[in-house]
Amino acid sequence: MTYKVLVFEPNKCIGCRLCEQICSMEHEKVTNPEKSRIRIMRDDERQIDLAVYCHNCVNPPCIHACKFEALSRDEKTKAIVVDDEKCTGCRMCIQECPFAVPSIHPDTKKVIICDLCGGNPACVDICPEHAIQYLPIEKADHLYKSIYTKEMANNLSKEE
Amino acid sequence: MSTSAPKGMMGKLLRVNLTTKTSTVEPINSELWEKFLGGRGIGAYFLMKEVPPGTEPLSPTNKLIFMNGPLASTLMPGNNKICVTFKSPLTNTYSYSLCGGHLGPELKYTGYDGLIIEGKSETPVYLSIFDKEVKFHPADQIWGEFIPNSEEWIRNDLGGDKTLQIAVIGPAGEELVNYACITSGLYREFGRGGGGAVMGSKMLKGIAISGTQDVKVADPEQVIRLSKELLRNIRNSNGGKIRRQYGTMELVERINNAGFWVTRNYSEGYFEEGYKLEGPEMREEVIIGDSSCFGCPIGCGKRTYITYEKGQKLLMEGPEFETVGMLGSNCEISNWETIMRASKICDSYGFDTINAGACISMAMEAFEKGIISSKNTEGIKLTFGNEEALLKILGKIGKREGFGDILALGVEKAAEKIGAPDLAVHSKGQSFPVYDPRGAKAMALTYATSPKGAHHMYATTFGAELAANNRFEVVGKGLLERDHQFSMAIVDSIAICSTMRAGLSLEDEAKMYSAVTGIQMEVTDLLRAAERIINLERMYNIKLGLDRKADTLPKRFLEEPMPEGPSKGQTVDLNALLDEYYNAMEWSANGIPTENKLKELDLTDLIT
Repeated sequence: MTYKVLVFEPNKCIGCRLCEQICSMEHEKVTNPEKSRIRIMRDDERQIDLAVYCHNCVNPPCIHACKFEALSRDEKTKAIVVDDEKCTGCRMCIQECPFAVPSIHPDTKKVIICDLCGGNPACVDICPEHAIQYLPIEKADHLYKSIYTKEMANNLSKEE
Repeated sequence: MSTSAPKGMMGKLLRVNLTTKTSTVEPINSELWEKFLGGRGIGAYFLMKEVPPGTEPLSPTNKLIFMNGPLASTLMPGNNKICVTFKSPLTNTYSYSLCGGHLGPELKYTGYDGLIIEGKSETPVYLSIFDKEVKFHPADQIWGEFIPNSEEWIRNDLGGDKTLQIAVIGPAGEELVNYACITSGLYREFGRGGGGAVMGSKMLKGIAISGTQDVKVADPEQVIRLSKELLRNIRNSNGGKIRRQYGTMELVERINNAGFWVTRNYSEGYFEEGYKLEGPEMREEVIIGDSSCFGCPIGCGKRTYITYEKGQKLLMEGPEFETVGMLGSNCEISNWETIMRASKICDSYGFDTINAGACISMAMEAFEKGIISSKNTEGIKLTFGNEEALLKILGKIGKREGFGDILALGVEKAAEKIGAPDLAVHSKGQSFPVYDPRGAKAMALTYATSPKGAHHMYATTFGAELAANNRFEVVGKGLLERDHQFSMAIVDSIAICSTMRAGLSLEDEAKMYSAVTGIQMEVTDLLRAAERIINLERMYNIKLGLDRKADTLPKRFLEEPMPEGPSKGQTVDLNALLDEYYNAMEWSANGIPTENKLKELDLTDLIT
């Protein structure tokens, strides 16, 4: 069965961080980037904004990394589900995640990971630039291929 | 004093003393939020209360008062403007400056609405604020470093965390250039009035901030619903769309074609080569991407890139409209490469492009009129259009070297020093930005009556004047000026970016304030608070003896008719304008708030 994943396009992101604000508001009823499941990291010198967000891996290293069986997958969305009872806050999942996605919640000291808002991600809805999309996994691949070939085309046309 | 803070606020203030290297946390009187709204309003309150008007601006007794507003860090559109208030070394008056980017929101996440910096360190230091942990760190190693190196060094000194928000001064602030700025995120500045010099006088190189505290709003559901609606409205407004495309550079076309874009040291209002600097041209030539401040759906920041000379590369954000006018048209330069390099020099040394441009254009006119020669300027041929000269002299200002040391004083004092006082274009020592008031008469009132000296953002009336097609008229401008001053005082104090007004009404602003704080705020309450703020700001300067006689413009605008272009023949009838404005403000004919007015606004106790 197919499922949907988040896909982020760095060239579209303007760094407004509305995604961080809506994420913590929807999940925690406060704004606090430390409680957001998505983070935007700006590189001032290189003038670029990059998102740190859950890629919803087919075979998630975070689940394998957890020695306490605190992580599992939601049946419907395939999002990573954290069992707060079992999570010890050891941070192995953070270290093993190829994208450094999980965070420690500042109050509970348990791990927080994107739950895809149950299948209707608030970050996707609020992004003014459509820099983050929620797509079936195969379509996500199409987008990566499109980004790659667009850049290639740009480079080729520059060389002419 | 009531100390339980309304929702949306942290209710606390961090006070840092650089002399004793200590910090204290204080509650903020919760009544202040309704009375002065936040940001600029509460900044003015603390300045009046704690920094006597006679204070020497570069002495340890001056303070830097950083204040957030209620909407900071709340998801509301453009919730990122933090205000710093201080006594200005440039104007010797009340002054404030606002900065966008991500600094203000991060300060709020540390658990403080404001930060007051007092005293003076013996040696260079930087400050780190991680929630409750406040530390002083040596900064000797970066004293003298440019802005980007300074920011990077501090970040690495604290472990390399990219989420840290850092504000620094550059060599210009350290050397007390009177219009030095405080910079955060490399391209966001507390730009005007010389806050950077005040910070330099305190030997404070930088402030690094990281917070983990919640910002709790009164009605989360309403905040989510309202912010989504308003974000969409702003994004889809005409103003929002055009700013998204061209940033503030969209203004070139409008202002130049109406004949009031300052040219040749403000002597003309139409720059023939201005078309090369219009928004679409910029997009085509140098823009490679767009950039937003925290919570902004527009993204008016423009990421730009050029290569020049022998394969040197320049990647930066900006320049903005004011910079392009001051370093471009006003110096008769239309070359993107030069304007970008010039802007980058200002950004690296850390000084205001508007005042720098005005000093240089003044010197160019003095040079061409023979008042100074290359003997005064270490051989630099400081004529209009000389691009190399512009780049060289900017570096000298940043270092306070040779002739640059004179220009570092600001346009009023520099012009006096070289014997060309009539060529200095300023009010209260602060140089005019790029709108010639002969082409939009209410701007004359903005420049003349702004308590921080000539500053366009005190009341950006020109847009309304262009739209109403009455820009040369005087009648009605007093009220227009008052309303725009109120409107700016509101956004500057509730802490949202003024650009959001492209899709926001005053009603929307009242709704946002209410949803965040739980205080039922009506438009009339916001306007009342704005009037209170403006009267308070005015009274600080009145205590310095600055009444009607200080609300002036240079003779150029009063007596010399605009020579050419679509505003040809226009001068400013300042007296008629001032009469109207004071009348609209219900002040005396001498421009002094009456006792009754102060009583009505509940300001009497604070002022006496």
